[in-house]
Amino acid sequence: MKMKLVDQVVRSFRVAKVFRENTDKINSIDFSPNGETLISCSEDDQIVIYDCEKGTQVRTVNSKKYGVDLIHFTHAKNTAVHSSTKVDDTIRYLSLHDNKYIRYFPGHTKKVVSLCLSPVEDTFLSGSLDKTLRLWDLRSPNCQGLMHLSGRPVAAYDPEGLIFAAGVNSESIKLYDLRSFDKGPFVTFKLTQEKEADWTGLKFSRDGKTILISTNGSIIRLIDAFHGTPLQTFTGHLNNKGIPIEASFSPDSQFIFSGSTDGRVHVWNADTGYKVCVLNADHPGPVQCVQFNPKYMMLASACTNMAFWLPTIEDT
Amino acid sequence: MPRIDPLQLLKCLSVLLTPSGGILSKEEVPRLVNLMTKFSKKLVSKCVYVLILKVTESELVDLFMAEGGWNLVQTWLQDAMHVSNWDLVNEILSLLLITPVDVERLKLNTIPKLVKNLSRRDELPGVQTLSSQLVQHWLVIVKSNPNTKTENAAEKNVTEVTEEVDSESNDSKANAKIEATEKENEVPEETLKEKEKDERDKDRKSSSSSRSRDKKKSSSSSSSSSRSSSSRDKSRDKDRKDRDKDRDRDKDRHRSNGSSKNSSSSSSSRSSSSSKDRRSSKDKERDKGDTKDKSKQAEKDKDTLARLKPQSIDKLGKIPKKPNDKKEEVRKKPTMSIEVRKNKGEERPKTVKIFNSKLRSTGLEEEVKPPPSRAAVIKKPLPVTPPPKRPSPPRDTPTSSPQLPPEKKLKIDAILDKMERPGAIKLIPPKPKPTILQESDIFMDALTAATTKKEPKKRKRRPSVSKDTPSSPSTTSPGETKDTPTSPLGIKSIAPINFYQDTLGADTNGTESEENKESDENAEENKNEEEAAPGTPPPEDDGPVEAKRGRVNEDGLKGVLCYTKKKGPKRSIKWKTDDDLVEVRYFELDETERVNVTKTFMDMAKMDMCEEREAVILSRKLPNEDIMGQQTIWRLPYLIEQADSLAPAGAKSLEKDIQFAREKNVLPALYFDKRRIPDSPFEPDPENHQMKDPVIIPLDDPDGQENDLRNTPWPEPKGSPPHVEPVMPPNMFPNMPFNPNFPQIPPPAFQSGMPPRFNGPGPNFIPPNMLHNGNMMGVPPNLGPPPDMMFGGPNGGDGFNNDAPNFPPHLPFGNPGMGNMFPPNNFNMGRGGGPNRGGFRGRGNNNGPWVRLNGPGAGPGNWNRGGGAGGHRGGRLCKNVKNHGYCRNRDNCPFIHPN
Repeated sequence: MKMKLVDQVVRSFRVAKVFRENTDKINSIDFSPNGETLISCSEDDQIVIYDCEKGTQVRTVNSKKYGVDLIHFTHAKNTAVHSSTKVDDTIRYLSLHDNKYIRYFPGHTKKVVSLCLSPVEDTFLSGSLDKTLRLWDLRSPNCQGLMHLSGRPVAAYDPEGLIFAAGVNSESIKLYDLRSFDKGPFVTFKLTQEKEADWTGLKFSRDGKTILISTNGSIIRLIDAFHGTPLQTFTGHLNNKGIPIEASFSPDSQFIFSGSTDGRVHVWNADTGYKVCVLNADHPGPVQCVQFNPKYMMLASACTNMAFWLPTIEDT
Repeated sequence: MPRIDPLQLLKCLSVLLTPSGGILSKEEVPRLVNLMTKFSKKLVSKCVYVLILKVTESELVDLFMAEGGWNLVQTWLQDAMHVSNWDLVNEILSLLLITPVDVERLKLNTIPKLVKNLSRRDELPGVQTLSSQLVQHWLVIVKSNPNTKTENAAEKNVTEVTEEVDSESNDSKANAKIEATEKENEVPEETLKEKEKDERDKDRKSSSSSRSRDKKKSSSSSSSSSRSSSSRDKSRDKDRKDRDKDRDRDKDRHRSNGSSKNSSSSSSSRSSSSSKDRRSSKDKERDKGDTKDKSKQAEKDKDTLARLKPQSIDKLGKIPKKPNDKKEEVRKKPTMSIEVRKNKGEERPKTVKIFNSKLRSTGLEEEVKPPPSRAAVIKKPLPVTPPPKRPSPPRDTPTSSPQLPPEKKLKIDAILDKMERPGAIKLIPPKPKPTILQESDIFMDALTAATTKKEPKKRKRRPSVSKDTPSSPSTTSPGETKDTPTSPLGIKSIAPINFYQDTLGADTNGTESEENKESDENAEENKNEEEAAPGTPPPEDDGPVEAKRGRVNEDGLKGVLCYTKKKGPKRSIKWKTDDDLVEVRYFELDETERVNVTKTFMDMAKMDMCEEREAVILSRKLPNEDIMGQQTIWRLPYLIEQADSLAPAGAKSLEKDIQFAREKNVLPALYFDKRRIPDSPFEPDPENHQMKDPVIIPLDDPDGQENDLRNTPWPEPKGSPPHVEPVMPPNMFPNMPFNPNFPQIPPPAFQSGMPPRFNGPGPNFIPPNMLHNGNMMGVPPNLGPPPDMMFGGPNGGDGFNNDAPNFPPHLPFGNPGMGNMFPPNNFNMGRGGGPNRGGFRGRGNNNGPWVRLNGPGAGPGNWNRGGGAGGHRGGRLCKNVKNHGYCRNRDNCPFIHPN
């Protein structure tokens, strides 16, 4: 049974599951492409995997040695890549199947702050505070491409996996064609530099028409993916701690979800820019991660607790 | 007042006392009288004083009484009777017995009456015997003094009556007791009497000494006549005669010595004589007794021993006194101290020995007294004999008790030997400590016990003293002053006696049936006594005396046995029957009680929970309490109705297949227990990859397209939609045609180019009136915003606030009214919870300025500047907030931050 995502439905989302698997802030979550599982990583060095259909926690993996951040599923069912918070800033390719690392991707010399995987291929991008952006292939520990920037990098693949975008210095976005990234960006959007916050994340909408820029301030930007035109500014949520609060699209690209340091989830309409609603789950801590399931009518938000949301309005 | 430690008291008084505990000299008498009158309110001090007096020589006692002691004694007696402290009464009576009296003194106060009263109290056997004895004693005195007779008629009558009564019933307990006591204390009593007589003699010294003898005889005869004639009496008479003879001898000796007899010396000589008499009587008895040879031999042996180690014997004698003092009677202490002093020059170890010997001596003394009474009226007096004595000996003689009758002799001998020798010290030391402890713990008990024992002691002491004196003279020179020889000797004599008593007591305790075997045991006891006695005093003096002594001992022994019999039953230990040991109680279940228990338990559980929660919050580093809860039920989520994704996920991924293949060959890691999950995944397998330098990705491509949008300011954030969207989102605008602002509101997808268009009409279009209306009209929708809209409140405020400052300058048309009107209205509304309108209008207004600014000034960062343009408006609102909805400097920023 399918359901269309509209305002009423969004407003009707309520917490249906609360998981308290972690003892510290959850710093990254990622749905599998098929929407059946959710992987999360926390500052307590635990990787917890949930079943989104059953609403249960499936398994837990520790990564005490290297720490874990920015975890993402790969295309394989039971593998993930994540950045490290300890030892070094190597990116690690983990097989959850046998709880063993498959490969390391060394290269960054400072904390990795951006990590994204190609929706189609085995390549992925990583940006670090060492002001570099690297392109990798899961099959090789060698860095495929290296970009030197003048500031903190952010990166994102487009939904087709043909283009990646690199946000530079919180003021410009460059679009590269994956097939010819060595020739430089085919287009650059120069935007008014962000004065009060840094860009901490880029996301293409699923339809590929817009790019969502999340910051470590209480402001979210939306630009046109083709022309770079500023489309919306989303405010109203709180971020008084300078954390990289994640902003997400709904699968239909119609809504923007963002966490808040006050523990609530704010929802805007991507088209109009209006606030649709604020969802309250009584999160005891700042909600750093909010994502909408790519397949199912389900929302996940996380502070230290993980919350699964379901709409309470029956099908329209 | 603090408790009085008899030892301390004695130490204090020791200056005034002789080593044996008596009063030192005439000079000290008045002082002591004063002392005693002042400080004799406590039982302890009374006892001590009485005992001191008992040991004091009769002359000094006489002096003491004359100095006011008589009245003092009366008060003591009265007090004791008042408190029914019969032990003390006993002591006092025995003191009176040895107190020299004359008619004048008897008249002086009511002591005689009190004593008479006491003599009639059948329920107090010990007291009665003593008092009746005393009455008889005094009667004799009174009768002998014709002058006083008339005066003391009343007394006489009383005494006569008592006498008659006594004489009437030979079997009466009183008689028996008296006899017994007499027998027991044969020597002592007689000596007492003798002393008294002697004193009287002294009083009547004017009269001839022969007369005094006559008096003695008469008194004895009278007493004997009054009592039922018995073999014992006969023996007594014999003894007396012997004694008299002895006395005569002694006197002769004394005289021969030619020393002018002071009162003191005379008394000492008398006492010594009396002791001699005692021995002689005992010896006689022995002669009469069947088994005397053995005893004699033993005595001889002991005597020899004693001779060999006279000092040690002395020590023995001393020792008994000390323990007595400590344990029971204060009286003994003085003796101890005295002895020690005397022996100071000799050795210190004595003190140690003294302790042991004291214990034994006390026992001896006590027992010695009782035995004669029993011997006299074995079966009759049994109930009469004072039971209190019994308990005391066991306490005193935990050590002596083990000595059983058959082994007595041996043990005693051994002990004596030990005591005499240095080895004895070992035995002694352990005792003193415990005894001391006992004292402190059970002081009162010890006191009472002591008082009970005091009686016997007194009697004995006198005899002992008397013995000492004679012994000393016999060995040394009879004429010598009492002090040096008598005191140590007396001590010695006392010590052995105590020993016997202890052993006797133990015997009696052990075997009640001993009574039947009186003869045998008596013999043994006699032996013992002989042994002990000879050891202490010098028995060498007279062989015949020993024989007499044997007799006496027999009687005494019997009495002791009887005594012990009485005590025996008291000592018996009975176990409770099983029934008594079992106690059954039934408890009924109290429901309320249970409830309470559960309640408290719940409280505890709650507390636990609270603590745990706090701990969890802390451990999870949560800033707030975790009150998260499910708001709805989990179910399989719906699929989202959406367009197909632009590209199938992972369509071109090769790694996916690689991993798929790999997983087929690798066992999955399954952890069924969270604790078993390893801290880290396994390290990757080493791989050989050719190092390859990464391709440099250029930042700029000269050929690349560059869209410079820096001129395009970021769109202002919007609040919540102006209308209740769920109601009629599409109709929102049409529904509000009346609002002049509406046209200004661009559709959601406004573009940079659009604002200017609106701008023109915006300000122009709005007449002040309309605006006013608009505000008015805008109110209704505010009334019913959808619940979710509330969340937009702040945003609305945001927009509105941004607006307020911006608005006026951008309406240069001279709409002052508008400008004036707007800010307050907007302000109020924004603050007042009109988020929709505020936001809505704000946006509308905002667009105007934003577009306008944009139009004229196309410079980069214009939108920022546009915000800055509002700076002249007073900067009420933080421009950062206005432009970015966010201000880093929020805390320190002087401008307003609506959020």
